[in-house]
Amino acid sequence: MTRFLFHELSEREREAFEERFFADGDFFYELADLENELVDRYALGKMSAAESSRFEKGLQKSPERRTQIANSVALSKFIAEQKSVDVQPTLWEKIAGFFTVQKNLFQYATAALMVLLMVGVGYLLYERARVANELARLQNEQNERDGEIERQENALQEQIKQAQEREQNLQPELENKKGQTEILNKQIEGEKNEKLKLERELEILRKEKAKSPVEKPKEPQPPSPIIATLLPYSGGKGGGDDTKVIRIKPSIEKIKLNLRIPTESTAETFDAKLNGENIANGLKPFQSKSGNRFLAVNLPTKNLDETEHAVTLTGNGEAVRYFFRLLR
Amino acid sequence: MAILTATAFAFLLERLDADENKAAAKYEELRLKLVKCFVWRGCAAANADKLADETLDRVAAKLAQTVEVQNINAYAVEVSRYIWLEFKRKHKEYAFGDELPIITDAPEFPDEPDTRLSCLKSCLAEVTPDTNDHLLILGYYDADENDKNKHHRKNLADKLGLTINTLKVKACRLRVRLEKCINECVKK
Repeated sequence: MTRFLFHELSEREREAFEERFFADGDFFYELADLENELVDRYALGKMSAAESSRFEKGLQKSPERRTQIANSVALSKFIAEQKSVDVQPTLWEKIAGFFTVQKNLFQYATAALMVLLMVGVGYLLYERARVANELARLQNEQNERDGEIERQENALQEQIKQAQEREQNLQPELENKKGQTEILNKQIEGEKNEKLKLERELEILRKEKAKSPVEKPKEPQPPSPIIATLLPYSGGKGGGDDTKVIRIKPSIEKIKLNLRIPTESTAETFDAKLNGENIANGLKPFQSKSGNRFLAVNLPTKNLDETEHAVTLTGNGEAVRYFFRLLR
Repeated sequence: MAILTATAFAFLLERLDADENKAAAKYEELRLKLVKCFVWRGCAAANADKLADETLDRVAAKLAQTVEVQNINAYAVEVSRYIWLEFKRKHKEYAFGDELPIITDAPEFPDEPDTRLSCLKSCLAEVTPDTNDHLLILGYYDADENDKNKHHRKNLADKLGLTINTLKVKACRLRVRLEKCINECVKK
């Protein structure tokens, strides 16, 4: 079509083309529409350099197209004018414009409000996300605490269960103890009754005693000490009759030794030793009816075993020894 | 020049379509094709109208002579070629064909923009008294809108209750009529 409109077809091709658009109405209007479009684009300077060159060459053979271009320019101008006139406000439009300004102010305010709203919404979304995170964290902590509490609760329940089992196990023992306690209580009660009974009897006896005095029983006397007379040692050690054997009961706690002072001794006082240990000093002898002098020495029996013991008297530079054994 | 009788014209219309209205529409379309064809051959618009009428008169005269014509459109284009050749022979000064040298300089255009614009305004009122036609031609050829929105013409067709093809046909017809009016106005 463009080649036809630019006169670039041969005579034969042009004739064939003419026959075609005479036969086909749609094709004809398509061609006419394309021509108008080319003219308008050329008139408005919207063609490329190559297309403009082709168009201008075609103008040589289509002088009428110059008028078409002039008409296209006029039509474009008119359309532009018409659009600007449409834009020019009438009185009413000016009045309406006043309100449009207000409307614009309102729109700006609305826009500002929208911006604020968006910022606010953004902040709220951010805050919501933060709170959600915090909530999730707290929830986790709560879950952990709940878990810990549950574990502790389970442990306690286990302990309670064990305690209950022990209680169940101890229950028969407790019942047994209770039985024993009851028996003991009964015994205590019986003892109390017995005590009261004895106290009453004692009271009766005291009353009877007050009526008729009873002979005071003698206090038990400790066993009398054994008195043994020992003669001084005259010969060899451990010899026969020189060791006095004294038989005593086990209950005898003391023995009294009457030591006969040799006649040739002139000392008035003596010191006494038992098995070499000093037991008394400055002892004075007594004189018997027969004229012999004796010195009495008391000895506790608890430290004296059944071996031979020696008592030594020294006085006025002289020493006399006496030997004895205890047999229990 | 053929003399068109009323009988011959009626016979032509009858051959175009039995229905008078449709026949008239087909006659107008055939005439438009002839005018454009002459213009595309290099004929001036004013002469193209005369040549188109001459073509139609001859076709009608032939049909009135009971010459059998199978296809009126094909026959009309054949007749128009003879007429165009005759016209070129008689009016050498209008023959813009291969005889003329190629001009490489920028072409000259009619220098009456204000007059043309003024004529256009008056012609718009004459050619498009109907508001829809007015909106149609201004909307269809609004280059800015077409550049901005490739669906502009489709939207316009929807707005006017037309198919896009019908919109295109009506726009072309209106533009031809408008340009003819403007050209005549400028000459006056």
